[in-house]
Amino acid sequence: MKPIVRSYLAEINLGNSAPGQGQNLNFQDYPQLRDIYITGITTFEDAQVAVSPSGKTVVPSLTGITVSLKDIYNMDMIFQYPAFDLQPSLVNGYYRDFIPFKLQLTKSYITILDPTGLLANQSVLFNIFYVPAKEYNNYAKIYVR
Amino acid sequence: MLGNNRQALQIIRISIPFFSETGSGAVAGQKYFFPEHPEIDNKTVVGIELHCGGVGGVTGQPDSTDSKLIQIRPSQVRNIYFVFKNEINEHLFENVPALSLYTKNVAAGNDFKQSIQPYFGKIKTRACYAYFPANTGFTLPDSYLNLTFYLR
Repeated sequence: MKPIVRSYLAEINLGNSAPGQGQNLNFQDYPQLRDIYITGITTFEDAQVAVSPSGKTVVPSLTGITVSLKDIYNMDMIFQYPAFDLQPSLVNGYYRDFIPFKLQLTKSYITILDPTGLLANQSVLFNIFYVPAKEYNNYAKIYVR
Repeated sequence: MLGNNRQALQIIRISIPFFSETGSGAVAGQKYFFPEHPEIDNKTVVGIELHCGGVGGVTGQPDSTDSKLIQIRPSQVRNIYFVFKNEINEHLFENVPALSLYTKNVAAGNDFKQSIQPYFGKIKTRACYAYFPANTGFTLPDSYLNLTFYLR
């Protein structure tokens, strides 16, 4: 695993009604996550995190959810990866790290492939590991393969 | 490898008190600041680990019990978040779910330790805090939360 230089817990709320099959839900804009290189990502179910920082119930299961992350050129750097598999507790505590790319969070999204068990107003949590672009040169050699 | 706990030169454990002034338990939404610790402030953190007490069963499997101090249990930790700041009060690690730092597998009868999360950076302990969100119905009696910092 590469070092975690910064992290921010992003939240996608499922909205006022239960999500439908095939529905996409975008990340909202977080000022902290603008102009960053993403270095890794993790997710959590309600067995690990009961409620989000904003007080929303966390989804009980991630098996029906995939995540897609776009870079600043609108390329799908990660496309429909199962969110369930991003839980470190399932892989001896290891998180998914990858060669950093500049993340465009507001065009990144989750897709609901199976809404079974998902209810309105629940939230999906992503702990995003990142390096601010202005500091990336300080850490670049850590992430070079 | 940088950020891996195997490179730590020093390991320091601190206890964060989750107390209210009235003795009626911790308060939702309240920030519970870390005790100041110069050893941590003066070195670089390369990993953070959380420890839990308890007796197993529905409270989850403990990894560090204490017969004098009441320690937070795994089943309670899933409601708690940490915010870590650096020496100029920038947020380094924001809203870190506490259970993600607990490295013991909580399934009874299946004990093993998971990898330590390689959080990396210089922090200022007295600016860091833990909290649990308001409006959740979760209550927490006066107790301690233990964190180990891997330093170099």
